[in-house]
Amino acid sequence: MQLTGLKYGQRLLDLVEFPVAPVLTEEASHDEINHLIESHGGKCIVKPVFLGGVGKKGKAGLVRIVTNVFDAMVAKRDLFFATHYQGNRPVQACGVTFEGYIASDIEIYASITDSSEHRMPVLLLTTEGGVDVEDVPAEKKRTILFNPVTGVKSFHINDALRELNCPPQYISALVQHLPKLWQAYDSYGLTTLELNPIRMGKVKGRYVPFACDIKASFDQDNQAWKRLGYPEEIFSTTITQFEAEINVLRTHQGQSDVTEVNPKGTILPFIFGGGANSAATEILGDKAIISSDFGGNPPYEKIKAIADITFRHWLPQSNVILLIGGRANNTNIFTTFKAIFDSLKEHIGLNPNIFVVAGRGGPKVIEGMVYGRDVLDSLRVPHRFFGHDSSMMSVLQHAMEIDTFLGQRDDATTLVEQQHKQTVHKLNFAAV
Amino acid sequence: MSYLNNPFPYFVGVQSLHELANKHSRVCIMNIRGTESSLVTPVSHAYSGGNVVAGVQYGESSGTFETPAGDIPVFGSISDVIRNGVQFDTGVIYLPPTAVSHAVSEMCARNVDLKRIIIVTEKVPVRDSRLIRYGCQSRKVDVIGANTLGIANSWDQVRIGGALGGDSPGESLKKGSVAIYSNSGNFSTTISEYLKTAGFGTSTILSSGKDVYIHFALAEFLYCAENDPRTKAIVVYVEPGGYYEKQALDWIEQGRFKLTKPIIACVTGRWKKNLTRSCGHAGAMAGCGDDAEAKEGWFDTYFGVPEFDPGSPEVSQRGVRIKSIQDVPEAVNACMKLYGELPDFEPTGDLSLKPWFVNDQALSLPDDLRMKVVKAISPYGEEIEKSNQLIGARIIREPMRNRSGASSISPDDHSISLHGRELLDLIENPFGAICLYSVLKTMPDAGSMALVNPLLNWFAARGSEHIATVVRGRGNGCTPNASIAAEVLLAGNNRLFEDLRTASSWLIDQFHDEAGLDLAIDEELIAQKCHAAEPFPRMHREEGSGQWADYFGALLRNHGQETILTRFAQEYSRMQNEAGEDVDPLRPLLAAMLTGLAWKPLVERRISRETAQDLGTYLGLNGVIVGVSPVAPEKNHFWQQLHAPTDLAILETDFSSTCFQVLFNRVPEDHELFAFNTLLNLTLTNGPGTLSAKGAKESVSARNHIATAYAGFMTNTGLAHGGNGFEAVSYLLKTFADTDPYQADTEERESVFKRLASEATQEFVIRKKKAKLEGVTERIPCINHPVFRGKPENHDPREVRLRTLLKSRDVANPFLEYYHFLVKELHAEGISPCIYCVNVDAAIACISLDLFWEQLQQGELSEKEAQEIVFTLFLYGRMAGISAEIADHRSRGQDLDCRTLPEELVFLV
Repeated sequence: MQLTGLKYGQRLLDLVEFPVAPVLTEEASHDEINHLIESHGGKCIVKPVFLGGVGKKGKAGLVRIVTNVFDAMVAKRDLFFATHYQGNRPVQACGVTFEGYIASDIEIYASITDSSEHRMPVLLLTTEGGVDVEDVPAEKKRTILFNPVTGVKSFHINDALRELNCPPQYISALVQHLPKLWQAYDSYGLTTLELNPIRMGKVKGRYVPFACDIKASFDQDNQAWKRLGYPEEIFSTTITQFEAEINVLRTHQGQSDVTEVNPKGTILPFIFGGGANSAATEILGDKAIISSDFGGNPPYEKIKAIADITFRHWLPQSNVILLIGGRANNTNIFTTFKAIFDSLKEHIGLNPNIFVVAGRGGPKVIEGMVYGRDVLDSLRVPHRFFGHDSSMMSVLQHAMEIDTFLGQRDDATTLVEQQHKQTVHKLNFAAV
Repeated sequence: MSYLNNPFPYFVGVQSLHELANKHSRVCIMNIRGTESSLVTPVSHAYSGGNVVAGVQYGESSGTFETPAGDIPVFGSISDVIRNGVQFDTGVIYLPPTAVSHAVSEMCARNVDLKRIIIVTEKVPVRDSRLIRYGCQSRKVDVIGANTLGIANSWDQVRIGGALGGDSPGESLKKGSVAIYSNSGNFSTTISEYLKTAGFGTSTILSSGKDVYIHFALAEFLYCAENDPRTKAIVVYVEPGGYYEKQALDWIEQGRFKLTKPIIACVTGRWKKNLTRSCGHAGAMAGCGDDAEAKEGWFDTYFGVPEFDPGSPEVSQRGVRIKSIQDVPEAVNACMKLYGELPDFEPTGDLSLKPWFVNDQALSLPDDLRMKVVKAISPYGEEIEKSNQLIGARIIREPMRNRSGASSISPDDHSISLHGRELLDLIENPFGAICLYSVLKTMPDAGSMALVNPLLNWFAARGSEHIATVVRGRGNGCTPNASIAAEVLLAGNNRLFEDLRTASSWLIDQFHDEAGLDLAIDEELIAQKCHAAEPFPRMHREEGSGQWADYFGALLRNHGQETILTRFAQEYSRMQNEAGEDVDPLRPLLAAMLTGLAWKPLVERRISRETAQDLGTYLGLNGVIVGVSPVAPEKNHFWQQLHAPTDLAILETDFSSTCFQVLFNRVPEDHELFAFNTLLNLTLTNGPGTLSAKGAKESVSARNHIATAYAGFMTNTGLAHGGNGFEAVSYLLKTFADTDPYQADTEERESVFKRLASEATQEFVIRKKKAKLEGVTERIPCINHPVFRGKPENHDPREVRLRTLLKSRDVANPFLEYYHFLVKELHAEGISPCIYCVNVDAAIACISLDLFWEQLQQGELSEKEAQEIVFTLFLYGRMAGISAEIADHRSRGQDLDCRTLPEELVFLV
């Protein structure tokens, strides 16, 4: 759960009274834009709006500085639906912002995050912001460690700025405002808050640090972000319809984490355990339709609901249903297998040509496998069940080989088989 | 902060892995009665020799938590634990996420002896973890987790926290020389399993958790492993996110602490690089520079050798990185060899693919993908063998109140299904086939039908023996459901049913493993079974059974339906008779035929063994119902023939025709038989919520015999259910008392029907007003339906289907047409708020009336008899559907599962 840019970020900073460069959205009138330009030294900055966490827009040439309404409109047209790449993943803009240009001879970078190195929150500060902080030499950055109960204090900021040789005229304003970032971070369930750049503008003759861009990540296990009143859709770009449906089932009892890996994949994996999730998804690559972690001993109702949603979305295109995990510690295999196979019974009509491969160990594993075997036999679905004495990785490889074979069958054969299976299914639907 | 004598810039309270968890640890569990703790704590406590000294359950002031190793005292708070003199050094938290930081505070504040806290809970907010870190560092308490499965010490046989090693920790946690540090709880156990295949056991296993905050991280673990004489190598499993590993390796390089033992490290999760929210472990999200590739690089640099290649294993003194955990055994072996260390015990196998269950069904796979079942390791292999000995479907018992695994009603269109097939798709099958399908979930094929009708008819003939009971009931004013139910009740679990069940059970035991699915005849096997150690159940000869046995024997031969079971039954009887034993030749043969019919669904585990063995009872009771139901048996020629047959060919009558002739005392025309057969199938079921089904299911729930459950179904029918058609016949007879419904001219007929409908409406208005004054309700039978209502014009789809079917065969039913005029007229006159549906009971009554109208007019049938016929017809159809519910409930349900809970009961004043 991430957000980028001032369109939504402004709200977070307003709540802690951290100054923000004036922002207009794509709905702004010509007069409003003209006024913004006139009141900011004849310039405004036009940026595309991306939902979710999208960085490096400046490097990609997606930030324009304009001096008149006409150019602002041209920039709006160019950037409104701009495509940007995060690694190999294309993301599309859905609007623009017009932001007041803050004339400043200095750009500050400030971020707060929880450091795994120090195991406490840290504030990273540099007076050479506006670029990737990784590119700033170590001697020009300061990491401030502070007590998470009392938060970062002005003296921490003052000390760091002085060490960084920050121009003295800016120090007072920064030590006054930067501690507010901790309030935002601590109060609204953030895991990262980054302002880059902060530019030093003047209000009534006094320097004021203006946040000119923001990135924030929220802890999805901390409901405090809801107090911000953001529309949920601002986090929705990274959540597909399928993921959203599964997310509704998210509770602390049993996992229901899913990520769509390849909506055109042909292996439908039910993965149990965070480790298995990490390892199995890596091996399956883009053959996997989804990555999932359904471990944590989910109750029957939960895993049944998960399976219902999963089959409804993905069963028709799948060659192989894969149930994979290591040797479970406390996940009841019978419960999880029963829920999944009960759901498969109800959805088999969506794809009677499925093949099931399972690799699992743990409590009540034989009961679970026997139940699965009985259901699959009654549905005429081919299957293999492996225990924890087979390598999980080899089971994954085997499932991929089965998937490749099934994918290579010619369409005519598949159709005939399908018709046969449908007939059989009709006769034996509720066989067990 | 002050630190112990260790190299860390923060508090770490232990020097060696052994100190983390050992036989001296004393544990207190928060939320001991929570869902997860309830499952895990008893196993942990027993495995660890009873190391849990107290549990806390908010809201509970005293009590005990039972475990196999003795009761654990339960208190309402940590203060209570301490006040009661219970001392503990380790706290385990199973509370929900938002309560975790509060519980940590409570433990720290109230117990001065606290040394470490293990947080099992998942999804603890990062903010809370931050505060926990700060608080516990200040208080000098080590924290493991959150989202951990805890710590296990295989040497001391102790596990603390979660469920490392699962429900049988002794199996996975073998004493040995390898320490495991894993971000994944599941992989902690899985890696220990994999290590066993190379002969290595474990010293201490730590499931670190993989939240953003890992409070006891790799650096601390490696430091403690170095100081742990039991540990000779360390397996590390980590995922992206965080710099814990880099920090540990840097500190070793920098000499902050030394490590002289090899690390076997596995990093997975390259694919997580571009995730914007976690999937799996909350902290497994790469930021900048801490993705899986970066972590692989940290380890590779530290080891100085490339990723482990099992083909040419190269490792360094510092260890090696492996691609996946399946390489753990070989990599550990290679590292140990380098140090001259031997395995801890004999290797326990390998990690090759060993499928425990395989079925390719009809799919043709290439040779390299084909697999054969490999016997599972102990004790799983034995468990599988045991389960394989269980023949038929293994259905988990569950409460069956308002539930059914046989029939269902669609919430969308209220269509009814039986065994997954829509009722309206079943109605054209022969009723005899439906009787079998209801019990066996499989429709008999054409060949089998050559046996099905004679068997059903034989049971009907047999059932007719005690018709006197029903005649007596009728004389006493019983409705047909009551008098027939009396005879069904008396049929009980009679000797025939018991013999068929016992014989079927013997046949299943003897032939299941050796006869194929097609039951092909194998003379050698038959001869062998004739002398089986466990002899075939002995059955006393019944008079006249010889001729029936000969009849069925010929039937089997003539229709090519002999199986190894029927041949065995014949051979067995022959041998016994030759030996001078007076054994019954018929019952073994009947049992063999019935078992043969049930064989395929039994072997394919679609029905339970119990259901297969009970097939004779179900068909026998159907036979009783049909056999005792003629309204005037003394005049019914067909029934007389069935009751005391002179020509055995009567058994080959289509069973639907049998039912027709028993009821109507004449041979049906083709179109009549079609309509009648459809009617029977249509009344098969109306879902598990109907009174008739509930009557049967509640009787099963009270653990009655099948016959009693059948009677439960019948006593739950009556004039308002099943007998509704009974009333409709009466109503129609009055309506058409002076009118010929079969008028040739269509226009004239419609005009007459409209007039009759109008008159009936006016008459109903008066009747209704009068009834209102008397405080009673008045209605016209068989219109409207509690399910098919609420639209401007309503239809009962079963009636629609039936009417359409009849029309497609040019079979007109004037009574049904009249009913449709009537519902429209009622609405037109403002009597009904919408056009009611003509329900299926009306269709039954109308078709029945059509079937016996002529006989009524001729005086061959009285009105009362006609009404009784309609009711009985309903019972015929429903008996088959009910057999499905009974078989399902008996296989799936629990005793008393239909009982209404006290809190659902309402007292009315």
